[in-house]
Amino acid sequence: MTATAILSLYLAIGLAAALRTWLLGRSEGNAARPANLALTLLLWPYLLPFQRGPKPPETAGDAPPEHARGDEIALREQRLAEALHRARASAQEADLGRVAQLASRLGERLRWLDKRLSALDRAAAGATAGVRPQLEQLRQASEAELDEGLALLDELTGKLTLVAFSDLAGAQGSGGELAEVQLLLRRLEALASASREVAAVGA
Amino acid sequence: MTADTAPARSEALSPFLPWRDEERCLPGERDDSSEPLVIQLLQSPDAILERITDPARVQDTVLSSIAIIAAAGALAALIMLSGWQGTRLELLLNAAMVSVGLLGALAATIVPVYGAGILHSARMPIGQLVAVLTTSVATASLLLVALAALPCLLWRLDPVWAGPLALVAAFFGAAAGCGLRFRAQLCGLMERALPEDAAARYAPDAQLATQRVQAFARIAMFLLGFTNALAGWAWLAVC
Repeated sequence: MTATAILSLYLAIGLAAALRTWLLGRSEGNAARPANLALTLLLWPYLLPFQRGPKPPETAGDAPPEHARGDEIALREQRLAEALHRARASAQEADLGRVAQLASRLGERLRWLDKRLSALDRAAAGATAGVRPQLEQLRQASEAELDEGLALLDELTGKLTLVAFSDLAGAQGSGGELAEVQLLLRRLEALASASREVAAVGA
Repeated sequence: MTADTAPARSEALSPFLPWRDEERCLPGERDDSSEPLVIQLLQSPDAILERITDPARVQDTVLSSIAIIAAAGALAALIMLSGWQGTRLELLLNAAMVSVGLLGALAATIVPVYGAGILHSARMPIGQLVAVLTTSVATASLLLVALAALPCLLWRLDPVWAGPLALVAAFFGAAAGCGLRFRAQLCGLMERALPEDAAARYAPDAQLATQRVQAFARIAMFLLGFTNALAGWAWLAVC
């Protein structure tokens, strides 16, 4: 009795899964093969994890603007984090915790800028001709800041990599690299302070 | 004689065959991506990892593993029950029940193991988890086929002690193989996910990750053992 109930439940879920596969296949234009449906019906616990969900509605007209650079920022942040780890392992005496803190603040600022740039583009598309030049000016300024921030992250990553391997050049080299990191830190601080203001306004 | 036409790769370094430069390759250099899954399951865990991490092949790997589990489970049951007094139909039914029980127990483990992963801060993509579980159990079922002859023989010699003990030992042996393979695959996946020099960079992180993965593997194997025991009990209740 219990076995029959469990089997019925299993097949009912399998039927629902197969129906979902069929509907998904139909909506995407390529009908699912009967063998696939039968497999889904019988082996749904194994196959459901591999099924893709319904595709999000395609926003062809609202395509992401060309300068959506979230990936670029994330990639640079990841590289920086790796370089930081490496530098920490070899130069414990350096105050590298502050670098991480500032870099994350700068990352926030860059992401915020990126979002604002996308919004600005959308706004510019529907703006009247009178406002357009000002919007374009704002856009250029923000883009320049974004570029500068990204370049700074790159530079910092490079310096930290040098710090990590500076033991190969002796203690003297290490001091030089650390000084350069400190210099960069000061520049970072200046850029990231803008982010703090943004956060304060947001709060 | 096949050396002239299509020499087997594994024989390339055999001292009894003529050596040719194009045949010589070290074990690490072997391209085993085209080998059948059954061979890879027993021979090369790295190739299995390649399959699991390749999104285009992972579903086929799971389906093939399921087929291997069903076939090998039934075959092992047939070998173990070959001395059993019963009709042929009953024998086949019992063998089919072992396959169904194995697959059912495995299916029942997926969600609890996934949950255990989340609780252990060792969450892995559920597709990969299913693939790791099915390939590990497929390896175990192949081992079970290999070990099945022992209980079959001992049962005929001594059906009171040696037979049942050998039967239990065969299942434990297969389970140990499954556990080791599962843990090795999880560790392999972890190493792929971690940066290359993670251990050199910050050793405590890598060490903690390894400990977490090992604890997760133990829990997963405990859950799999539990559901398999339930499946065995259900089999006894039905038959």
